[in-house]
Amino acid sequence: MANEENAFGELIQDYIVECLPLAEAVADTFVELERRWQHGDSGGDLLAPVKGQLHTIKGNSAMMGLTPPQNVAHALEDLCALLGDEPARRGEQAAALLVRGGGLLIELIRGAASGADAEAAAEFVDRVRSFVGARGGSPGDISPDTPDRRSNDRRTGDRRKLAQDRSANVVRIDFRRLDAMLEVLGESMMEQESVAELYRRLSRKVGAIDELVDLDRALVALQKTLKRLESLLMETRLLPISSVFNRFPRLVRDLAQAEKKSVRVVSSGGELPLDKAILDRIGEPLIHILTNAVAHGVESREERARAGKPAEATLDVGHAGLMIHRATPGSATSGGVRVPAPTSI
Amino acid sequence: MANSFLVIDDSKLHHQMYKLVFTKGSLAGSTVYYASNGREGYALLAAHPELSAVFLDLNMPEMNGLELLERRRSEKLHPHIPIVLVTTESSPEDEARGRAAGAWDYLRKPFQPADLERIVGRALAQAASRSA
Repeated sequence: MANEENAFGELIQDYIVECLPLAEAVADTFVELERRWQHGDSGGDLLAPVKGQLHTIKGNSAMMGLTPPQNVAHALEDLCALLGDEPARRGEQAAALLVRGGGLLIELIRGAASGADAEAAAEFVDRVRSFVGARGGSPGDISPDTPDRRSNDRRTGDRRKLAQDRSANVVRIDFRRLDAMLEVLGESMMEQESVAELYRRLSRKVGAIDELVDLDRALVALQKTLKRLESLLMETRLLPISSVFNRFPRLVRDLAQAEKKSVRVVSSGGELPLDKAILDRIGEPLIHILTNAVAHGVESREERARAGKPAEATLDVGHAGLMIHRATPGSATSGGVRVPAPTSI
Repeated sequence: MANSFLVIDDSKLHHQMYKLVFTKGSLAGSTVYYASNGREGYALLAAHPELSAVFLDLNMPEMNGLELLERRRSEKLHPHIPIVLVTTESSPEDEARGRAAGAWDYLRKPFQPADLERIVGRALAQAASRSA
């Protein structure tokens, strides 16, 4: 991408921080929208706010000179406008386009700092253009700031303001730096222990003189301070487990579609804080478990119909465990395959 | 006296962009105030009659750009301060509404630092000619 040439190129990380959560929200909304349409629900309440989020992504991308995400956001914006105006166009093809676009937008924004796939963006925009063109419009058409969009933006803005309020005192830091700080702290604690050992030897040799009593107090205070520092530093490494869970709805949707199954992900306990190093490690095994769950734990639509189950299976993802519900009324969804909790992986 | 500006935009990214422009070149040393919504922005506008110009985003939570302009006009708050409405692809009707509500000029996103500097230059020239 050409952001290096853009006057605001040095703000690329700020761009990612602001736009990535918006893109993730957009992509999640599209997955949910597809699900709603499959259940005969128009999902009108979902379509409106997403347009504001797309508009913001488009504007920010344009400011950064990032044409691929700008064009994809623009195409999605127009696709949403079309689907809002013409409910008859909602369906499998439109949903697939939306979901693909949401995922692509995340990829493009996530990869903005290192360059992204402009071809994939162009190919997607062409697909949207063909779809929208059946009506005569085009994603190249300008979507002005209509009053309707402004009211949508306001709702989006309310949510964004909440996020901004929370992030007002937040600074970003390279995780490797936190690792280095932890290493230095570990060394400090060992050095403190060496001094404490020296104190004990000295104390045995010369007895309880005033200076050694003072040294003892100072060493105890230093140990407490280092412990406090360790606990604060460990806290800075914590991220909510939802940062991993949030990837699952789109992933499972794609897996299920490939298997010609209907599976919905419901996650709970996403607020549980975990060390980022652990989160980095559990992501892939969890994906493996989910893949197996969809492939082997969920029956085909026909089998589910024969068993009198709803067509759609539910995958409950939580930090206490991950399971597919047993076939009981209310939450009955599948054959009851249990998989180990993430902690036992 | 150094120039001072007010940026009213709900995007922190845009705040950073303005900061880049206002801390470099001829505008370095300017005082810049930032607000994340129209309500905060209006309070800052009221508190700073010395502002050289205001950059006002159209779409914002709580109070949008047009609402701020309309309130400022009805309350006759510092009418001498030029307010530039910043928009993404606004329609001619929106522009007309903005101008009718008291927008001094428009700045369309995406803009470059030079666009911002140019518009600031005109605002400062106008202020200078008024005080001459």
